[in-house]
Amino acid sequence: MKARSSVVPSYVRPTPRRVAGLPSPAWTVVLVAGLVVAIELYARSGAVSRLDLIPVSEMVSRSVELLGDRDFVVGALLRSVLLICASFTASAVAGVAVAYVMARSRWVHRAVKPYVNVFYALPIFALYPVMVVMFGTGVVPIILLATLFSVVIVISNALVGFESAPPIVTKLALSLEMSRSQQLRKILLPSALPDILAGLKLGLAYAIIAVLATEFILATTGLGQVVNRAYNNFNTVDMYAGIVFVSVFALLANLALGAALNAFDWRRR
Amino acid sequence: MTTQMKEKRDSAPTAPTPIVQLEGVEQHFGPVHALGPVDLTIGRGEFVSIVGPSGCGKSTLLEIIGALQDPARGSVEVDGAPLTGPRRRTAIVFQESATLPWRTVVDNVAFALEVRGIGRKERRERARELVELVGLGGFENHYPAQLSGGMRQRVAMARAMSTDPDLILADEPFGALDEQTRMLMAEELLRVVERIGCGVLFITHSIQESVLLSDRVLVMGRRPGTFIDEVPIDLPRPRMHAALSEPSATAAQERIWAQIRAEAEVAMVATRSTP
Repeated sequence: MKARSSVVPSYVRPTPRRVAGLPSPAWTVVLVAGLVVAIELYARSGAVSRLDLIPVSEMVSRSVELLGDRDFVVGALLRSVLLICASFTASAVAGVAVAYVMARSRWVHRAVKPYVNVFYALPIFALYPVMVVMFGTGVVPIILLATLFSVVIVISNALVGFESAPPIVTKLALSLEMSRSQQLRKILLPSALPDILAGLKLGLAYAIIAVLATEFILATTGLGQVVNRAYNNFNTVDMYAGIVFVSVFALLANLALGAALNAFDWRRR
Repeated sequence: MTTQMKEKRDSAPTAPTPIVQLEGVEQHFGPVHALGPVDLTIGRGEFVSIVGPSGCGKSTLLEIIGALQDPARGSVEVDGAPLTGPRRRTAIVFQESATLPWRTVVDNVAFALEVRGIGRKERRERARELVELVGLGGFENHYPAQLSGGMRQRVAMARAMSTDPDLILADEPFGALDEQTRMLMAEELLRVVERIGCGVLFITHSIQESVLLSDRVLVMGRRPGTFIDEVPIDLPRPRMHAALSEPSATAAQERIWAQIRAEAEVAMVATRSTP
């Protein structure tokens, strides 16, 4: 009653610790669980064909089964994970390097910035026929597309970081006669680190999206292709199992990387 | 602790080569004549303050002596040699606290030593002593964000001391602090500087501060800044805040204020009449 009569607008009030008798985070779980139960009941009710939807419990049990399938683990999962790691590493290294060069050189900055700004307006996956023509259907076009897709978000975040180093710190560097490499290692990189980390988290998400989507459209194997093949063969159980697997996998990968990177972020200390 | 220092201080004006010697220094930024011509001599271990209206070129002068910018004209000698680039034993304390937010207090203080390639163990030991000296003992492992503005400026002061400077250039180091903290920090700076006995060029807006700290106060006129008065401050050292109420100190403050007021008024009218 008291809270309702508050004159403080609701958008500046802190989130209440408990809502309707439950701790706030518990409601998140309740909502997701409710959605899962609703789909489960709907699928079991017979109102929908098994070709369109299967119960969530079957999706989950099948995707757990997939983990015991050697072909799936080695041929699809491991391959996709390696592709994601390769693209992510390439875009992380190249992204930070490009941003550094842009921050250092006005000319490079002017030349590259417009492309960075409009990059995501480009439907990059439309390039896949070109990739197939040039590089075939192996791993090269997948890594290329995924790296290209995720490098830009890394560049723009790292650039924000490099450019937000306070001018007073730059003067300090000048007065201490720091060399370029000292400035990079001891001032620019640590100063930009929180923004670079934010870019890397997004970079991983983009790399996962790009690898799976590219596999979906042009590969002969991999996680994305597992889902695609099941879909084309009307194998609804495997299709949903693959979707659940991929979603959980991407979520866990992002959470794990986020937690690992946050340990380096001095703004969170 | 100060008898030895006092001797050093008293003999400063007759020391053989002054730490800083400027002749006819001028600075222009495009069509703007920002500074000079200025002549300035700072003796070894001497504390010189510059006060003057905003935009008169005080900071420009300091950056020229610190080799952060080159003068358009004139000669700059530091420690008897023409200035060719940033000097190892010149330390600069900036207006905003130039602390590095990703480093702890002790690593901030050790930063200059680290840049100069001093080993980890040695620089940390030296940094710990300096942290103690500026009164931050117990805060060694805190981050700047966890400190107050005054404490951050102490960190910057300790870092400036770390390279065994013979000249400290301070550009309104306490400008962003509140009045009380400012006075405390001024006393703190005096204590520390008297301990290591280096020359200081101190730029400030506060007349009180300049009188409390300095052996000599130079008053700079409006742009292009030149020195229009030189006020010696003959108060005994060590000084505390109470020294400001002594007759010679109040006379000095009156004299400086009268000069600055005249300059500032002309400058204000000049800016008002040019829209």
